[in-house]
Amino acid sequence: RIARHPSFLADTLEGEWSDIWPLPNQFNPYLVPLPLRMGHTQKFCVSPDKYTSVELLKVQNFLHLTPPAIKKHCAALKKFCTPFPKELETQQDCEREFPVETHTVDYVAAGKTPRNPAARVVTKTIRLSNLVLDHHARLKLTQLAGKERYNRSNDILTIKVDRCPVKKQNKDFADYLLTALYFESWKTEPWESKEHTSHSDGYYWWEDSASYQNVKNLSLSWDSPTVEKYRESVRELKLEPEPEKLGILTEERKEAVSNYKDSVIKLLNL
Amino acid sequence: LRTNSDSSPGLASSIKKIYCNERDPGNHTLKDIGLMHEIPKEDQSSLVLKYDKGFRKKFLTEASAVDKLCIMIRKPGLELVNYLKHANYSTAVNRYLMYGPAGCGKTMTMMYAVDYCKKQGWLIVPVFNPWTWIQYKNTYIVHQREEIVRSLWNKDRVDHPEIAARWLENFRQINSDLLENVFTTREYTWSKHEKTKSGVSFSTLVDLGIARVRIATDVAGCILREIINQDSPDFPRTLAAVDCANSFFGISTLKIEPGVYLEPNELALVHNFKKILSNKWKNGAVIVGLNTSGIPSQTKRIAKVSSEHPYDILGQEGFDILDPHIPIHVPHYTDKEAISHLAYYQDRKWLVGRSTTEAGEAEILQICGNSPTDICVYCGHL
Repeated sequence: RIARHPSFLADTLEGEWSDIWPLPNQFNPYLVPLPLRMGHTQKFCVSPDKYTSVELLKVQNFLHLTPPAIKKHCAALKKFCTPFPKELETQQDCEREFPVETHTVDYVAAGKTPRNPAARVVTKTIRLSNLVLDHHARLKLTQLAGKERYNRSNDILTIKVDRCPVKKQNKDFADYLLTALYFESWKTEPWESKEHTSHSDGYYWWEDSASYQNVKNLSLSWDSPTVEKYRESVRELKLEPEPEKLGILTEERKEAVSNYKDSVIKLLNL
Repeated sequence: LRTNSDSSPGLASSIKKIYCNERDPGNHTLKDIGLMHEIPKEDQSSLVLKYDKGFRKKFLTEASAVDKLCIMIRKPGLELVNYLKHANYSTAVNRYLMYGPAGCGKTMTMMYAVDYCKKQGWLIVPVFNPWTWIQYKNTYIVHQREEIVRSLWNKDRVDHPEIAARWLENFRQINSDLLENVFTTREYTWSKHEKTKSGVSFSTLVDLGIARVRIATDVAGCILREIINQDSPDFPRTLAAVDCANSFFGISTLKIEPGVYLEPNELALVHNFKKILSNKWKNGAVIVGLNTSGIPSQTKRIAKVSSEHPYDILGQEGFDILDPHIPIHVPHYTDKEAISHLAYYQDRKWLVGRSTTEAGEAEILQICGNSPTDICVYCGHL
């Protein structure tokens, strides 16, 4: 029978564990009442126990952060805290007060270095409805940001920065980008006349479309309701397709095509 | 449920009237749906082209086997001919777009309309297989490969001399009696030494293009230019029949410099034929068919698109050029049409024996599911 050191047994503990181990400290086998083993094994052997393991000394431990210790810590800190504001009860309230959301990741690992290069990445998101934008500024901002940064379905602009070495620098750069995007989108350059815009991003401007130019070739009176109806059906056709439904003729799309056909027949007076 | 008997004759054999007596598609009515519109032998020489045939190869093989070339009178065809009859030709041309599932008769509907226009004495611009224009032919037989060269006219464009010469031959064949009476309005300079004066007939121009293959593409472009800029009242009414129009708006597999694929727009032929799709000219009509069967073989670079929705295949650019047009849906056969198709085969003695019985007929219709091409292919083996 192996003679065991009494510190194997947890019930030999006298008093609170957080009193014995209050602060981050190197591993001490005589204080920790756990049968730990760590380290490289020889053939047909178990890994070294805590008295002989050097590996246990190398790694960082969190023995000072046991749940009771954290609770105690929080209880001690509570008298310095203020209550959570009542105005920020729902998610919408939070978003209204703090529209920019920052997302970073901290990595904790048992390694040689506490630093992880992936921790420098900063992602900032904002819903565009929280910004003051007119139609032109909004269109320009979404086009400057590009399709991969702006999600049309939930109106969220995402900026991900990882070009600087430190998280702080990346945060600042993301802020700078947001500011620059906002103020740049409010400017109207001389080359931004109407001919250059397109409806490819869902903003359909009838006077600039090729359909309008084609209809001009027909000799028609412009005030007639047929032109208006035709315009509506073209708009419906162009704005409808969703990427996953490409190539499939659903009932709604069939109806859009037949609407288009009716309007064209009326337009051409056939 | 009623079991189909093996011995009693099917529905198709009870049909007495199979062919339509009226030869002009303009006089067909809704009552004639399901009847066969026969194209007689003397018309076939000008309708069945030498190169880039409008009809599919399989159909022509079958037509030669049953010794008759017939097109079924169907609702989309009647609709199209009706539009052609009542359109206003003093304003910009109308465009008609035919769409529908593969193998449902888009091409046949187009040929039906072409037959109508030929009988009315129209000038026809046939573009039946533009896939061959934008597709590199990877053949081991060297003399069958088609060359592409930089255009003499515009250095940014690329010519297909041989394909253009073949197109000119097709054009001459389909409009054999018309070309003498149409004249050019401009003087054309082909090279330093070659010129064509204005007022020359189209047939001379076409003959020149066929003889001098190097300038055939330019000649084709000039013919289209004359059609678009026509102003004399004697100019015949023109029909541009463009099948597989979506190939103009896709991508090509041709290369003229190593490693860089050409855009279809850079090809002079495609560039010229896109102009005739627009509505900037008068006194004519444009019929456009969609086709997806060429897409997978054309290139491995793009995913296969199903042909169900017209504008997914045509794309943004194609829609912008063709808009406003009249889309015409060409669906599968109705039951009446399918049985009429079988009755035609029985009349030609192509279906005999067990396949004419009630059970055999039901089996054919069950397997083919009212798809015209499937009926044609399946009955070909019987």
